[in-house]
Amino acid sequence: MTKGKIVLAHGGGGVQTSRLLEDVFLSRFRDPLLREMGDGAAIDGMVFTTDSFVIHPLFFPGGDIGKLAVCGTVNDLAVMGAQPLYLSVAFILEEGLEIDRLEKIADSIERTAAACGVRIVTGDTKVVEKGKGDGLYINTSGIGRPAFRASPALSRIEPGDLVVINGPIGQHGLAVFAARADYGFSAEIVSDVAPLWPFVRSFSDCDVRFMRDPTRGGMAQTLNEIVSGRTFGVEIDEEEIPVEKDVRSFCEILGFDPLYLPNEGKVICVVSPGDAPRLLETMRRDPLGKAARKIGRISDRHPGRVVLRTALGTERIVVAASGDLLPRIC
Amino acid sequence: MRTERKRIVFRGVVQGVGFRPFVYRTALAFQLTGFVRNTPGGVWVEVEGKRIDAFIKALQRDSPRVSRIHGMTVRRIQPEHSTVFEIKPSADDGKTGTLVSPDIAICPNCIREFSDPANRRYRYPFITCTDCGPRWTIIEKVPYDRPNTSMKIFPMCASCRKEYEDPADRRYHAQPISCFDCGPGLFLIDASGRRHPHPVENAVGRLKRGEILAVKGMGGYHLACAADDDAAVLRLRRLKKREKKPFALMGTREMIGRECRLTEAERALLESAAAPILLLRKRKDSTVSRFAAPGLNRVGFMIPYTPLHLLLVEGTGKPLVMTSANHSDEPILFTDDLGALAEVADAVLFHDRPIQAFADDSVAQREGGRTILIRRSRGFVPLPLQMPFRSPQTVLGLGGLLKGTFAFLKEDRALISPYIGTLDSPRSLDAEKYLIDHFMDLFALSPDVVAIDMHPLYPNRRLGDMFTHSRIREVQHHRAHVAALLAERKIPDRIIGMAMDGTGYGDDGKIWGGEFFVGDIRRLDREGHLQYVFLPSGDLAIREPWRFSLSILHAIFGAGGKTAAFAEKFGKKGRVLLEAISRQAGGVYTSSCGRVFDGVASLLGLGDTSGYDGELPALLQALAEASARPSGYYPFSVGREDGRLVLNLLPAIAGLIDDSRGPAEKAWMFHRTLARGFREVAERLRERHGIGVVGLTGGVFQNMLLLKMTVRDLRAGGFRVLTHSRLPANDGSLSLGQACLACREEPAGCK
Repeated sequence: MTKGKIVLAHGGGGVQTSRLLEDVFLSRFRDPLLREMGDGAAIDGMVFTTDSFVIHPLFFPGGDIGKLAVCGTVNDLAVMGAQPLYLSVAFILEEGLEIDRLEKIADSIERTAAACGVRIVTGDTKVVEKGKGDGLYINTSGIGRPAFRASPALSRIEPGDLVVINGPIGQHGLAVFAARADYGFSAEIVSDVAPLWPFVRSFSDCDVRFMRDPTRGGMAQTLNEIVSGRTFGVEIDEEEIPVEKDVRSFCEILGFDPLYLPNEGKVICVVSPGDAPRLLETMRRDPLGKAARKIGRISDRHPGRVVLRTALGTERIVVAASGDLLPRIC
Repeated sequence: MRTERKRIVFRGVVQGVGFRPFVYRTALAFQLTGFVRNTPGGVWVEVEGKRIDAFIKALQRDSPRVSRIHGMTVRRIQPEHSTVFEIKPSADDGKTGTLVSPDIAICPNCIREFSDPANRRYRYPFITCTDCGPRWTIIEKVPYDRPNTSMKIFPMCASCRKEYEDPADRRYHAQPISCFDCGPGLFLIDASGRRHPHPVENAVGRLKRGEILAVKGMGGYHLACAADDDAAVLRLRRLKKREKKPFALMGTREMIGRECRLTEAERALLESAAAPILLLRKRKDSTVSRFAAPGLNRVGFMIPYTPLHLLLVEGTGKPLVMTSANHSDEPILFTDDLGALAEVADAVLFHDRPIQAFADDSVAQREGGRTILIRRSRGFVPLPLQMPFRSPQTVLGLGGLLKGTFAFLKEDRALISPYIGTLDSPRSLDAEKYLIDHFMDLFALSPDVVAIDMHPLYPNRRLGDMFTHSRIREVQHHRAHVAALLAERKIPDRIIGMAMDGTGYGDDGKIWGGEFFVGDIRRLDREGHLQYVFLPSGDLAIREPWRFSLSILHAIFGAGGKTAAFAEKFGKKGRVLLEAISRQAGGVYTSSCGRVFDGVASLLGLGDTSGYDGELPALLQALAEASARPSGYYPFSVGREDGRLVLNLLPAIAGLIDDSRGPAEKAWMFHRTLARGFREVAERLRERHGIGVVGLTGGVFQNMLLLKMTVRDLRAGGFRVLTHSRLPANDGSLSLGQACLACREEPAGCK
């Protein structure tokens, strides 16, 4: 049987992405650190991670590719419970890109890095022929130092733990979608892109069992990663999930489910029930956590499953996202 | 004639259906001696005497109405000079070739006793005999003997035991036999948990007052209310969270005759052993609430198929709504979860005979002299289907998302589960898992291969993880449809397969649903499809078909003019969506035929939203059937793209929009156009592949008008046409098709 070709869904963060990783990469790169499939690797008392950024358009309400490139890596370190220290930034520039725009992006990178106290210490630049890049692509890698008393890890999650998010979901995905055309609401939806450090440091003394930023594939993807193959599942309450009014109304217009939209300034925390009130209180003192909410709980009722209790009182299984907006029903 | 002795082993549905007493009586009639005995490998008969061949013929000719003889071996053996004919106790020979009987509707003899004030089972809610009553739903394990059923907790009284042990009695070895003295108890509690005496009278009183009653039936709980009571029906809709999807009804044959027009064949099907819900044409003066099946010219009726149902329907004196107790599209509740039931009913009428396996009611329709199944469940399950090949492995097909079933394929037989529901809730997935385990225990099955749909978002894919020792195979949705048809019709040859349905994930990551295949049950090549059109908004476009209508308009006319005017009807929502459609963003391309039906129905003003799967197409069909039936059809084109034929219906829709005729005539013409288009594609494929047989499958072909037109057009073109008869055309058959194709993909293949 032929192995087929790369399709866009392979990069969507859903099942096809997982399968590609498994079949092509993990079967060959067998390092045990890689196997852990965290947002980064814990090495010699430090944490190391990398991410690449391809986004169209380069500028969108609330941010640009430069801010995104810093936040992406900083947030990966932050959700591993590490203080981001050093970044590398590598650019692949397309022939014809205006230097004005590149400067704006570089400014944005500098501002964002300064805001979370991370140093840009190495970098690289390549130029490709016109038509072979989408303006520019950025890769960032980062090194951080663990800052939590007990580092958050999947293995520490237990049934009864609560699930908390620091604010409303869906803004980034919808803002970028809207920026691609004139839908008449581009200005109303602003990306949530923001560095989660030092915000995360503010609750480093809470008993946070696990953290992850629900980026590609959205909350649905992140929650599925948490419970996949485990003896517990997660139950979330539709009515508790924070979604801004504008986001909700445009999702209703376009058929998007906010659960699947990417976020760039959100963190999902699994927290011991005893520490949940303190975590929420701490989060709410920071602008990034003003709208923090408890959205669900880890439960042994539904092993391996993400179950949404709908506003109607029924239960629905939330599966991991695939790349496209795929209809399922007949 | 000389005395001889023969051993005959019958395989098939021959246990729990009165087969042994039947053999006993027949043997006596032919003056034979010997014995009959149940074994897990079949019914074993040894007879000695002079007229054995005539005896065998009589067995085949007159066997009980619900038995099915699938195979028989006859061997001549040494006479043993036996002097009597006896029924021997069941034996375990370590094989499992026998099949469990489906549940059987109450038989005429039991109805007679039930209605006879002098009979000791007068109005007894659990009257049964060897010819009728629960089977599949009460069996724990084979062989089918009382200690292996839910009845084991009810010791027989002396009178029942006498009948049970008398080979001449019609309750000889009737495993669910019982009476008022020894059988299950019947109880009624109200929503506050209070128990009431005289449960039947209390229940009937409540139904008459317009209350909603949960009733434990054969294969699960129903929710019942008076069918002529608008307020009760509407309240039931709210409680069941089911806005518009039709409710099933129950009435005696006389009641049904007053509400619907009935042919003789329909009457016979209603009163058959399976007693399915039958879709019938409603009379103009029907008393059934218009909220039972809003906007439709057909309603689904079944007869009271258990004595308990008979008590309720006769007591109330009018038809009842009798819909499965669950939230819409979830599996039928079958455990005595009185708390959950009290949330959706004013009172619960239940008994203490446990249900081992649930079975929702089956749904059928008579059309063109044939019975068409829409849902194959109670009364049919777990009868096996004979396959046109042998599978060296045991294969389990897990089904899709909607109308979920699973299917086991072993050797040359397939066992298909009852209808489970929409497989996207934890309850329905747990129900699927529960039934899979039950099948595996009951029929000694263990899958070597597990087949799943290709769609990455179908939750039941994950059930495959249960089978750590099985190989997992993905099967494309519409190939599974065609394979199910080929399996059901036992066709080993190459055909042109047309799968017309709602949505299924395709090889190319697009959403298929109007597909033309060429091949056989081994391999199906996609040789054509409906024109791809952009489907915005994901699942939302399916609940709100106006969205696809807008995309169709955009594909025909561009973004301005008629398209913009249509979008404007929906205000800001319409404008934003049109912008997304113009950029073909926030959606996928689809070749779905069901979506085209949705889109056309919405363009003709039948509704902007869909309350249940297939609502708008059903309304479009009803509209077409009320037309003056003009001749001709709208223009369409058949092109070629990437080596495949593409049937483009957009010119037809443009023609329909510009047509000055009324909506009913347009709806009719649209059906005509599709039938004509299908024929055109079939002719092109025949030229290329030299194949003259066309198979029609997929949920769209539940539209009887389209099916009739397509069959007629294809036959006029010289084609032989295959359609479903024993399996539904919809996603309920996916599981079988998955299993067949997954088996063929195995290196060892199938023979």
